[in-house]
Amino acid sequence: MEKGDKLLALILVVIFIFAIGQYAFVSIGKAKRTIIIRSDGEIVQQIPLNETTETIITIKSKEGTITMQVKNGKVHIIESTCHDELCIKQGWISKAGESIVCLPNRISISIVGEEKNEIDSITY
Amino acid sequence: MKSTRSHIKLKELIYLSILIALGIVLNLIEPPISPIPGSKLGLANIVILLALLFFGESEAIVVALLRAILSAFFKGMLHPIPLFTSVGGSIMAAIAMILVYDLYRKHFSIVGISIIGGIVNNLTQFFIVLYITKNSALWYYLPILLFLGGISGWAIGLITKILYNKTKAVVKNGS
Repeated sequence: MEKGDKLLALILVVIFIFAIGQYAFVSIGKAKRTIIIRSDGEIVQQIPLNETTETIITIKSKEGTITMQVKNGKVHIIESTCHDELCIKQGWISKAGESIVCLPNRISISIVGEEKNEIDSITY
Repeated sequence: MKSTRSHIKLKELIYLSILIALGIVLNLIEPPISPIPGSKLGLANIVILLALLFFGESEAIVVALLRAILSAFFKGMLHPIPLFTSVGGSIMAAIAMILVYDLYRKHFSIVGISIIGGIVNNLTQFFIVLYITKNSALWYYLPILLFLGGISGWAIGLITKILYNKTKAVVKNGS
């Protein structure tokens, strides 16, 4: 192993720890979730997401159409006009920070969280 | 003298053609791996690294370009956006690997160069997707994408190293 290889291995370990930490941190303490839908690079719709939200939404872009289902506090794609259907294969997302991207249709769906936890109400 | 040189050139041409063909087939038959939909190990990078080790920088970039373009033809009805993302990723990765090999060969093994290729591939794809969707929430996925790119590159590098050691006697001296 050369010097540069060792440096790369170290960088990968740091990135891994960061990714795990971020994943654990982002999903905690964000009670208020919002689904943000983007089509052709623009936000077209924002929906509050909670356990009781239940809806089926069809999103259009210049490239195509996808249909999204919201149920039990989770989101997934049930139909898409795209060729690879990777967006459907991705399955359910529910945590703040998670996204589904349908690249051929230029549509993306993200769950964004707001920090509304105990610590905030005490501090302020 | 002249006939010897053209003989060497012909041999090189045959080897490069075999590498490109192998790259196309590997890319076509390679199964997608979890956890991110559509992600692959990137087996086609093996042939770019082999071209780099056996023949050099300019030969490797030719293999990378032809492999990417021909793969797109073989895949058929691919949408232009994912096509651009995948071709962009593999060409940027090839350029990065060739530059590192050219400038910092002493500091990196072939596995290290492959790790850089894997990271650059995912980084390029990430920024293309970010540009297309304009979705800043996607930054959340950057660390895990970089990590997976590095790990894939590491695996590809190890495979390349084994293949290089097993075939170098034949390619360099054999007839």
